[in-house]
Amino acid sequence: MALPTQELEGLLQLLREHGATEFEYEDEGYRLRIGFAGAPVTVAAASPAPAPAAAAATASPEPEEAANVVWIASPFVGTFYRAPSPDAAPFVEVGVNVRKGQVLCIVEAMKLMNEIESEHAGTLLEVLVENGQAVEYGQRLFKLAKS
Amino acid sequence: MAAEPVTRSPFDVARFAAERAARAVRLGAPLRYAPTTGSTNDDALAAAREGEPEGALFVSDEQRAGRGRRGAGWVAPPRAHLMFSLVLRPRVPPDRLSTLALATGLAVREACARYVTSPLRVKWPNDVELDGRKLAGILIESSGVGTARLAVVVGVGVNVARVPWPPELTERATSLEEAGARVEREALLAEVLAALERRVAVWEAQGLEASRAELAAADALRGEAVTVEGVSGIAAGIAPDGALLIATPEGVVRVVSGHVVRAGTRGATPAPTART
Repeated sequence: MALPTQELEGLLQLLREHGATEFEYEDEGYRLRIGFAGAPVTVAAASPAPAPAAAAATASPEPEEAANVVWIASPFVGTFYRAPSPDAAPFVEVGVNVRKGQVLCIVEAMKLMNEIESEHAGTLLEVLVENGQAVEYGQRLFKLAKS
Repeated sequence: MAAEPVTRSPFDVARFAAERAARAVRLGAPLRYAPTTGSTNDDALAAAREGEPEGALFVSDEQRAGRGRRGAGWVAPPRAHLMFSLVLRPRVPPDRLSTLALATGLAVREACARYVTSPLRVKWPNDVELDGRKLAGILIESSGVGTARLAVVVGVGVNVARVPWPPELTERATSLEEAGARVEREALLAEVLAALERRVAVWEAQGLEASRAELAAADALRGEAVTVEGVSGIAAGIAPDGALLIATPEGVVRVVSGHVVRAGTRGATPAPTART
């Protein structure tokens, strides 16, 4: 069973006081793992997920981004390719201006080569995935400054 | 039948029109035939971006820059094989698109089964094998995923004529003519389109669900020792979402991307087909 919020808070405090880096607890249908690796804190729990654990997971919020920063994410699981073929130049390089609808990369799944287009016009700030790398559904591929 | 294989003639547009009409096929119009081109997939994709409608068909006798997976080049003698690219505009969510290669493989298998008796199987995710050798390859490309402009180009190459394979491929590639069938490309194309038209309609409505038993029976890899992108094990079937299942000592692994290498296969180079 899940720990009541109060007990979990007490546990977290106790662990911090003792400078613990990791704590794992398992009971019937319930597992709680707490890691202190400086920031970020990782908390993984089997269902039911105790609310305080979820709160702890967000202990290190992402640094604030400028309002015009957007990400292009992968619409499927697959393999990421930056160029139309191995010996071709990449579709885009960091620093270039891209049009809305411009092809940024290919994500391949089951031999279906999908051209991924930019949803916005802007400047390419970062390519977040290596060529040939496996990507997950919704994984961020590109960081863009909207113009 | 003429002594000279009919497949050596240029693609006959009028004959294809008759074969298509005889089967009441909707796909295949407008027809864009070019005796020679860089790649029919490139042509179709470029036209699709400009609004080419569903059903538009790009056929060529010779491709100077035909592409396999990720630009793996290949060389086919002119007029020997069937090479085409078809524009589709399917109304399915993006995550459902990838199973189209398997549905296409089943359509190509069905069409070819009219001409040969040897076992035809689909090798995940996009080849068709005849007697364990590569007969056909499929390359699908999409543009405008996640938009109303979504276009999918289905590129298919079927080895039709007997051609001199390089020594390293004689055991790995085959053609309809090698299997004893002298097939006109125009009739074969109409057959493939007819099968594809039926199957794409079913696939749009319910994915691979209706084809699961057929796919299991047609699965060329099932039970074979394979390696895909570092995962080694025994191929254990194809999941409803199209993923290849591999049984490993650590459990069943799902693979959605990568080149399958069979145990005992020399090298990882895919056998060439008349790809688009």
